[in-house]
Amino acid sequence: MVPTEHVLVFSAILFCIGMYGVMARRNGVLVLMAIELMLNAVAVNLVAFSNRIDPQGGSGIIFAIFVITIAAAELGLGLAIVLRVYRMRGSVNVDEADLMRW
Amino acid sequence: MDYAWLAPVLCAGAFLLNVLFSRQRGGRRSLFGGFFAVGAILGCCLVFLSVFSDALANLAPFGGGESHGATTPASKNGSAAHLLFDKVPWFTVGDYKLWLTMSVDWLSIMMLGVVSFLASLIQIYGLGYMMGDNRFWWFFSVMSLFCAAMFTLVLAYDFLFLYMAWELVGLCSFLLIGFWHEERDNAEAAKKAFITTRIGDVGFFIGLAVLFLNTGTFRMDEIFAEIERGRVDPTIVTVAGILVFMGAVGKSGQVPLHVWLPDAMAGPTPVSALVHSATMVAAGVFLVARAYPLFAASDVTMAVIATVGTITAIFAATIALTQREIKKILAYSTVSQLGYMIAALGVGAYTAGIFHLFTHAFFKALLFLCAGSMIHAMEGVYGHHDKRANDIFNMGGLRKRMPITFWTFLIAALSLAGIPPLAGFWSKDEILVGAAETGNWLVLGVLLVTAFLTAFYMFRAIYVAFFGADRWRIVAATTTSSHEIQPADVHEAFPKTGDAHAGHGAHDGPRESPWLMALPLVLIAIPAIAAGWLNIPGVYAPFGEAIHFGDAHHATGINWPLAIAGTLAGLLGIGLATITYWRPLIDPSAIASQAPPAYNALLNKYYVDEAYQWIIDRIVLGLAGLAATFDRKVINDNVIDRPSSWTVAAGDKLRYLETGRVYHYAFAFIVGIGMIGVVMAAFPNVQFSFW
Repeated sequence: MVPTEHVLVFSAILFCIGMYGVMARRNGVLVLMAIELMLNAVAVNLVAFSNRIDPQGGSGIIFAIFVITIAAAELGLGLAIVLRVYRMRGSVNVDEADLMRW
Repeated sequence: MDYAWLAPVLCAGAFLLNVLFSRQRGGRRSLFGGFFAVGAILGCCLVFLSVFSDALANLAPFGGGESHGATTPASKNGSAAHLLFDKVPWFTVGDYKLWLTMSVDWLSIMMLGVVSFLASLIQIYGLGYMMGDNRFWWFFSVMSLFCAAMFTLVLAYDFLFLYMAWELVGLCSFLLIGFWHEERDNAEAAKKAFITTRIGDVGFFIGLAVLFLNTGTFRMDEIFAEIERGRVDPTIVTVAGILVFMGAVGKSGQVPLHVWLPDAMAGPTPVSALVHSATMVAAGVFLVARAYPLFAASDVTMAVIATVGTITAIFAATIALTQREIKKILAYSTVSQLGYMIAALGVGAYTAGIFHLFTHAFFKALLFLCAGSMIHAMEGVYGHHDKRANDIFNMGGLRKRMPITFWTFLIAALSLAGIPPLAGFWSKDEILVGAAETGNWLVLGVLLVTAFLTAFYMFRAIYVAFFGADRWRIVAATTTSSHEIQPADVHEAFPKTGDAHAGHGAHDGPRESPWLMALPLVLIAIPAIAAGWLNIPGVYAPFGEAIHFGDAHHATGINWPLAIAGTLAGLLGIGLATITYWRPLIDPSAIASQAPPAYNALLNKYYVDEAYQWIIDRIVLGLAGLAATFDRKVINDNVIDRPSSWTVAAGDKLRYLETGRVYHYAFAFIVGIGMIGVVMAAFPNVQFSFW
């Protein structure tokens, strides 16, 4: 049985990697992947707590499945946007898509 | 008696019918307006007759005595009041439910009778007078609404309902005075009437609020009962009394709010007749009578009322001496006579004051209708809406040409001058007796002088307008129209369509008015002669038995010294007018030139209008300018605009935070969450709540 703390540390590391990816990457596709990492870190967290607080029930696991489902949908949408940006600008660099500023 | 509420409902119905069906400029449909209105007001006469006959049988005439059915003795207020309804819900404010209440007592029956009688004759007269006017239907619509408001006012049994009707009366008189609002003067006069009376109404409303705060009700009987039982602080009774009286000062044209009444002449003459006799100005006196227990509970209030009334009586009578326009003379006469009524109520002569309201309504309405007839005839010479047609010095010699108008005018003037046995004598004498009995010798003296002046200016008007040479021939030939239109062009400029205008022209001079106008004159002349016989002291006085305050006033007989003094004052006035204006033994212009300041003061109405104008220009507008400057410089520039400029400047700097780069926003987001985490970690015992 892996202790909960280990799982949480793993989840935290995963989240930080995702966060780094969101902030550091310029490629739109990579940013989306980083967001996916962060979502998965949250899902892991949910499963870990579910296991610890209520080992018999599976509500946290169900929740995680929902997160994965919605993440998939969101990724589909995000990729579609990236695709449109690429069609319009010939690049997926998020720095260049900065029309909504001062 | 239970159907007295039909009177206001009928008139309001006529108003609605008119507005819905007879809206048309000129034309045949417009005429329906007149028929609806006259039909409704004649219906009101029937309502009055049935209420009156029922009341004779069933309404206790003697103070608080036996009463039948659901009557309530209205404390000391003379006769009992018969409640029509008191549980019609109006609205709810907080916990207070306001019910509409209406009642009938002898005071309201008297007013019902006067209003329905005079209004129906005046409206019939109006059919002739307004014939051919473009807004014929609108005249009769507002007339109906006016009557509806007045009926509501006299029947209302709670002050708020009364106040509503009161304001409606004010609105209608505004609409009617400004009936010919195409001319700027008329619109100004209407505005003046509305605003001036509103000044008094503010006092009235505050007075009602004070009463409500101290008694918790608007019902008249409850308020008076509270006062009678001494549950209300006497100071508050005085203050509330004076405030409520302010309303009457505005409505009844008492000094210092009398300035609107003479200007109210701008309306069509039937309007003047109605406003000056039975409706608008009567409302003020009626209010004083209605709320009498409130005033009588405080000597100070009564003294104020008596003083205001007496000052008004003599003040307006002196102004009337020098006026040239027939309607202005009558207007100041009305102000003066209203002063009489208010003074009578102020000295405690309740019956006398109401009685004078009653008789005055008839002869003053008659005088105005006669004046309308004269002006109507003179407009045949000078042209429509020509100001010269109003000037008595532009008339002359009308006696032979307009016999009906002359004789009815003479009757009304004699009545107003207080010559026995006409109506005005009896009521005026009652007031004098009332002043004498209560020991108000100063009031008595001033009122006697006023009676002398009244007789003088009325007969001045008669001698100048009806006797002498046909001055209008000369005037029409030598002066030009106030409209810059030559008299000869008038017929082309104002093509006349109605029957009333057909037939009299510039060439054959003024003529008697058509029967539609002459008949009401004759009919009103009857009560102008006989109305006074309802209250002959010691002989036959059902009026005093029905309407009184406290115990019925049982005079043993006529007070001969005062009756003779009053008659003598009137005769002296007539005599002086005779030797001045008929057989000119005295030259009035010589007297005028001997004391020019006094004469000019009278001619300019004591400069009251000018004084008000000065106050408005210098003080009110000055203060308004100060306030406006303060608003612009301090409030707007420093309180509103300056902080908003800070916001703009801050926004100008801060907008560079919006880089358009998603990861900058994400970074700010994460830093924010991190800070929240740090704060929560630093204060582990604090319950944080983010929603």
